[in-house]
Amino acid sequence: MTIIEFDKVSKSYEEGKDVIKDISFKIDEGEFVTLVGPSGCGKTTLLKMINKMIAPTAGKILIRGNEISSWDTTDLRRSIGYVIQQVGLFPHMTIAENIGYVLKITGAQKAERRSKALELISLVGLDKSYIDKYPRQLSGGQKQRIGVARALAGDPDIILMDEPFGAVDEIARKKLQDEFKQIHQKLGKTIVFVTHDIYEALKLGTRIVLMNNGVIEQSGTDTDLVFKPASPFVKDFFGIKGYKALLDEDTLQKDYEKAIEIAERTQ
Amino acid sequence: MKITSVFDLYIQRTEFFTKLLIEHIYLTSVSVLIITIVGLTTGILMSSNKKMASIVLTLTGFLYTIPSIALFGFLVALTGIGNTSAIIALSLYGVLPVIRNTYVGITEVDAEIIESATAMGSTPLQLLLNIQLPLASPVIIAGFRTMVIMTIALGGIASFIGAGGLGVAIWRGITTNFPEMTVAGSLLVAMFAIIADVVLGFVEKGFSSKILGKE
Repeated sequence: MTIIEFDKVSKSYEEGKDVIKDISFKIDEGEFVTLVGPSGCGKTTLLKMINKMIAPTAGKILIRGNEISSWDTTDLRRSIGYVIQQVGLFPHMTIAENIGYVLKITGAQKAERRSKALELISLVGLDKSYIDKYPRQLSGGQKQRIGVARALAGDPDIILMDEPFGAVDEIARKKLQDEFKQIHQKLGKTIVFVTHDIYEALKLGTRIVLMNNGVIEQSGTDTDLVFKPASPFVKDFFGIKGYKALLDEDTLQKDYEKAIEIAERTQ
Repeated sequence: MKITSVFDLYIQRTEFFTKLLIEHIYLTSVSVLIITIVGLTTGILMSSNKKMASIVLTLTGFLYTIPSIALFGFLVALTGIGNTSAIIALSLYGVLPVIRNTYVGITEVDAEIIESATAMGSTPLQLLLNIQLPLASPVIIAGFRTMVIMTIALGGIASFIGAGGLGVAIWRGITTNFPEMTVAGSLLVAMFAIIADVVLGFVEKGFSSKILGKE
């Protein structure tokens, strides 16, 4: 079932200069859509139109079948999780208070907020002892986990993520990606995920949407985009990097071990 | 003049100085209360209205170019001699640091924190109370502290327009060529200001460490 629908949506900040050009596309419930493309292609703008952080200049956006203008902005936002690269944790609140923020503004009691925070902190793979710490006592990767937990607190069916793992180191990022993929499979939320990392886009997305200059170049599965590129731009963009991302890592690891063995024997 | 004679004066005229100190505390407290209410409200309104912000900042800046003694004189013509004029003058002078620090404190909260809180569905009031004001509080309290010290000191000249307070002792000392009296009054104003500063310094530190984690 369609949960998010863009119908001929355009956005311009200056007259005649469209950042988003007449985009129409649908996202089904439970999909993990990665929006990928070069900087300035409009992927973040498209994402932020879903929770009304940016208003479209033309066209219609439908969330759960209702047009965005008919949604109360506050209600809509409370029903959509949101994670950004800088995380934006509240420095004056403990981790429990950060995670429970959505519940607080919707009027939940303290005990309920705390038990939800305890439940979610385990889900994102952190020890329960972190619950009374402050964001400044956490590493970048840990903060990002809390960012994810916070987005899940209101039990939203849609989660928007804008390069959420962009600021953490390589090893932590890979771990976060693996775990987040599992969380998606477990909870079945609809996720829209902006990234400029080809590897990340192909690894996480059940559907990958490649954007360029405000239009969608191609939308499909990882193999569609890598092996059946719709245009030279798509082929150039993914190229050998995209191909490598699709290779099975276990097989590669075995090949590598074998190569070492052979090298040792010939010595 | 010997410093011991100042203390003799305190002992001989305890009742007189106590009365003046109480008046001084009353004058400054009322002014501080008015300033806090007006300053916070104005600062908060300014933070969501750029146009108003520049107008208010220019106006309050202009206020400071008026010498305090001239402002007192001007107010006597308008509201007469006494406490009312003094409180109005003290409030006008003290309001700038509170307005400016409230405004700056709120507008300097990190954009991504505001973005997160907004995108999570905070109403403007929830954003203000849960995020903006707590995060701006160290800056606001720093402004509040400056204002309190300033108001206590400036309160000393309120007696020029017939208001009470420790200025009465200072003024009497000057006019009757009685330096011990002037020093006795000034010393109490200074003590009052220092005590207020130390106490508010602790409050400020407390807020900073709660909000920013600095020890």
